[in-house]
Amino acid sequence: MLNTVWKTIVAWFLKWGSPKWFYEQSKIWSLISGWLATFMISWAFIYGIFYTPTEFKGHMSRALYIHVPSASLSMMMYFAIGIMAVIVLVWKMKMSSVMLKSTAQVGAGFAVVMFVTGAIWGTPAWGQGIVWDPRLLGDGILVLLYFGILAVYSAIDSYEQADKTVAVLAICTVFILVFIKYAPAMEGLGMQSIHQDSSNVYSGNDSAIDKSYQRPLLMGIFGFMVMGMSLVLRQARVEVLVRYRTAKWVQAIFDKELAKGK
Amino acid sequence: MIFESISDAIQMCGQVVTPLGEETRCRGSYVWACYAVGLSVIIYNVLSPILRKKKLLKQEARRRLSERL
Repeated sequence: MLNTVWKTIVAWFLKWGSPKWFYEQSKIWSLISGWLATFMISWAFIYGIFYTPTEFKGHMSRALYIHVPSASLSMMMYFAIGIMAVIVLVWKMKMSSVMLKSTAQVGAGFAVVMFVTGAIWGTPAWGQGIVWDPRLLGDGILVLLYFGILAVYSAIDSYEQADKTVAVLAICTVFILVFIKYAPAMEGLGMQSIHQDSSNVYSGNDSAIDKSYQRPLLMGIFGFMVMGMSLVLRQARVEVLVRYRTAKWVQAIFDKELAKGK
Repeated sequence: MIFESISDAIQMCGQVVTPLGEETRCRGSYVWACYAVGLSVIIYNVLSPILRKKKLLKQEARRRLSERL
């Protein structure tokens, strides 16, 4: 019984490796996750901006609800890029290279949001927008890596060559995430960090922070995750059309869309 | 709601602990700038696939036209 359930799940998952199946099935998922993310993020932002109390570091702490979700999303996306890079190099699945590019395109934007909101927050809080503490250094490198990946894609015309180059680049550099994550906790290694070590946000009643801050923060983090899924699916749908534009089923889609345009 | 009026919410003035003691500082411009940056990137990400698809369809239409000629 369990075996058949598992086999069905695996078969369903493997179907997503086909670009055609992906294009047909992904629209509804991107719509559902997009609307869900809209509600989650607007709740988190409105609660975060207008309802959280000011005892914790004054009004400037309201930037937390966009800085932390975008930081965690850009780091999670780079981790996903690392996993997909292995799949591209080892199993050479078609969809993994499409998702690799789309994830990099979306993740780069949120890495920039993390960096810019951090600089805006740092201006009043640290007295200087950019202080090169360990985590900020790692995040700066992460932003450059994202743009490096996008640069490789725009520089190399062959999709296969570009995918391989990016995959090697991503596997070699994915360890930067460990550095970013544990930089504030590395004081024993002689690193002085201005970023605070992560508070225990996730565990319900044992959480180190009060519920009034925890709720919008968690909702923001999960909302950004769902939004990331929606945005990556939307980019990947167009990427599939671009890469397989000569395929019969894509030509059929073009026929339909061009007839609609006339 | 924490704020008493809309202008309060825009200015976000409050007590801040500084080395010289407690002072009133306004953080509205910084906070709203953060959210403006974030929302503009989200809007860009929502719009960019739509624009890419439009561009692709235009290219395809042009290619078909040139093939017919």
